[in-house]
Amino acid sequence: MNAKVLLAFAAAATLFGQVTSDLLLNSSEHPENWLTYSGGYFSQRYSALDKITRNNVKDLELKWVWRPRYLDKMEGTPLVVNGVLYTVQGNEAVAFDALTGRRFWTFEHEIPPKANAYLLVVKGLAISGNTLFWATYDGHLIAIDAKNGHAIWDKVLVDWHKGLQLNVAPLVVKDKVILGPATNEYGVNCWIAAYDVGTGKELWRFNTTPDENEPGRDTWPGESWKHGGGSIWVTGSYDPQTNLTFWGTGNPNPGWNGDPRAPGDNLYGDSVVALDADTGKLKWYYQFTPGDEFDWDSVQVPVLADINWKGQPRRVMLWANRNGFFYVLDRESGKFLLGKAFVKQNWNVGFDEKGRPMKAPDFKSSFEGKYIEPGVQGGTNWYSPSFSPRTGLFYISTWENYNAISRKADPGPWKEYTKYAGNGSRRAASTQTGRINPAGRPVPPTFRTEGEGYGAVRAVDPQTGEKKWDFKMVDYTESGILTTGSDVLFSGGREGNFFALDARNGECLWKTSLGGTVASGPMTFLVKGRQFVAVAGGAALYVFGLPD
Amino acid sequence: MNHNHARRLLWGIGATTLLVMAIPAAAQGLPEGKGKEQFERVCRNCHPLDIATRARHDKDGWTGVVEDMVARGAQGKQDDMKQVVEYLTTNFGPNNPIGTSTSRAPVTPAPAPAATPKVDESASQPGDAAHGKALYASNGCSGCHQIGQSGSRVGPDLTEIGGNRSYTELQQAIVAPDQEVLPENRSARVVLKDGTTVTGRLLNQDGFSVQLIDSKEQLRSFLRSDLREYTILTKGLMPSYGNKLSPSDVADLSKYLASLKGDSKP
Repeated sequence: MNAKVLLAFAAAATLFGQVTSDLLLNSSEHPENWLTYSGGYFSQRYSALDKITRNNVKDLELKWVWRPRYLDKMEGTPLVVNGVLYTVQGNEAVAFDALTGRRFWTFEHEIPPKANAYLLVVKGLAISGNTLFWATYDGHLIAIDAKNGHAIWDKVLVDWHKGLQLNVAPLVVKDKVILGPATNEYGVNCWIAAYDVGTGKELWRFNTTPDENEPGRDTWPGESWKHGGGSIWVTGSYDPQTNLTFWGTGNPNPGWNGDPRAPGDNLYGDSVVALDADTGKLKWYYQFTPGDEFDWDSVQVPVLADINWKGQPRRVMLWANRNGFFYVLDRESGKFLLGKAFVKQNWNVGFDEKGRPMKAPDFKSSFEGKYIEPGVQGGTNWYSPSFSPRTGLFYISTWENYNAISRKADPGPWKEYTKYAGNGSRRAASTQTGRINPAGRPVPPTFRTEGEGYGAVRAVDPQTGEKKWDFKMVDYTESGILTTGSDVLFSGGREGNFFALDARNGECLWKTSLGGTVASGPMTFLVKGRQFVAVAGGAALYVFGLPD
Repeated sequence: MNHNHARRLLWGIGATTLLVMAIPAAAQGLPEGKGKEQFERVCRNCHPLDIATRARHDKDGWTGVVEDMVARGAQGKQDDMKQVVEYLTTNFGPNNPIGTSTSRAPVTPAPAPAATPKVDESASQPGDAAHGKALYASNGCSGCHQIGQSGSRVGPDLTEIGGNRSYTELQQAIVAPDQEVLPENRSARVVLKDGTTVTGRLLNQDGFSVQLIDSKEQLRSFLRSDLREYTILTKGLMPSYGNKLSPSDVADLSKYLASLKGDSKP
């Protein structure tokens, strides 16, 4: 380390502040910071900051850009604590002066190329005190000193050779850092676990596919529970009032062929689980898609909100699921309050009184191909939604009119470090048929017409599930959504645009092009009285602010 | 239209809409070859390229993978996807060494389609291709269409039309051109706020802008916010030749068009 860097540390030393449990609990009172993946325990991706307004947002200008060494799509959301921005991409975690983009330190963790079994995405870091937590693809949980970028401890939580990886941004609750592994269709059973922030010692574990003697095991016939999956790949939420932490779970395996695991609901696949944050004990669960055969992971961000429901204050959870339905659940009991399709769908003919979906009679995967709405990527996916307590609206990055033909295939016997998905080729359904490619297969349309699917930012009224407005794009969107205390909404899409809308009516207030797909959730922070907005586009992180 | 030429022009349009710097795609040691540009452009949008380059498939396998990606929302023209399949098959086929990558399970091949292949059916169809070529010239088709380097870029390029459309489909397109307009061949009409109307073939669009090639072969880019009206047209783009040509002339012209399979040389 040279003298210049040391000097930078000295100058910045006072900036590195403690992120106490109290600060995390009261994050909404400190909107200058962004302390968790979704901005706070309720995961609303809403900030009370209001310096950037509906009137001046048009003046936003680029302040600084981080171009990581690793040149692929960025899906992470940075953290900001007292003017220092922390983020992660590829092999490096980094700390910057949030005002200028000057780098304080870089922490590198070499990842064996073979460990990148599937996607090389990382959603972000977590922080407790002065310790950052990075869950790496190759299965490490690393505690990093936020002051200097040195490792404090490094624990191997999962063995990537077995088909498990970590890509989630962990969630810190009190003295625990909570996360779980993903299996990326390798059919390895997953879990949610809590680790001691000081030592990395495992304190509790909840199996998302039940073990032999655990409840829910009877929803898996025969030996199928042994390779059930139930991946964790999006950060959960926490409700201090009930001390429950909520997590969405991935699809059961094999994902596109339910035969080896039928009949059965295959718990806790495609569910939300409510766990006691101290013990990991299951308080309740709700399964969005029982016995799923179309990859409709429920790895959405659980958004918690205190709203008036039918005239009474109620603590609820708002959830737009990959299966195309918007849900309102009572988050204390798990009681189903509302389920309403937010995109075109053809699988669910209604809910019974307990909120269990009733599948259309012919809705079954087939070898020939089953037409499904929404398609395999869903009506939405892991893209962070937002809830604004000011507008009372829930905002979804949605794929409307999107469909696919899904074919199942014989997955064969399960083998270690081998995909256990049971899928044949899937293709877009379309009105265009009859074209044959050189391999003798019908050609799928590579051009969608406007009616055949589009992306949108969709505002939904949680009271009814009805759409209030749409901001339509031509291409689909993988961007998250941020709302602020001045009713400005930020989002983007695969077209590479990043834009600001009026959160009340969807009117476009400002836009720019980032030169690459926006597949991350925007976030905002305040330094020296100035508000900034950060978002990743393509393979770079952009920070915008008002003119000095 | 010469694809490379068109692409350069399109990139030019795109660049003017960028408010911040464009980021060059990192080559990262990809083998050179036909289709590399399409592979980088189409695939990188959603995932790291080495997800593909670590796998090995034959042409059928890569076709299935690319179809799968299209089902997942991959965006590109049909020709782009064809190039991607060819690039991957050439450079990441079953016999190419894997390098440092891990071995992966082969993609389960899809069941054979029920549809009857139409490939090479034109050989058995009636018509005189040489006369069809003369009809193409005498009826002024090149006023809108391009074959190889000659003709106009206003309408669909016919250089490889015989590889993409069957003899029967071509017959139908001559007699009833409105019956099936492929999405990539649609036109659009925009009306600016001052009343100026521009009609042309729709080349590209996003949430904020629209790109056309107009009747003078000029590439035009419009912000949607500057438009009073924006309509996508699927009718009336080409007149029917059902009354102008005899059935045997239609057969001859179709025979000629079906024989156009493109020039594989770059």
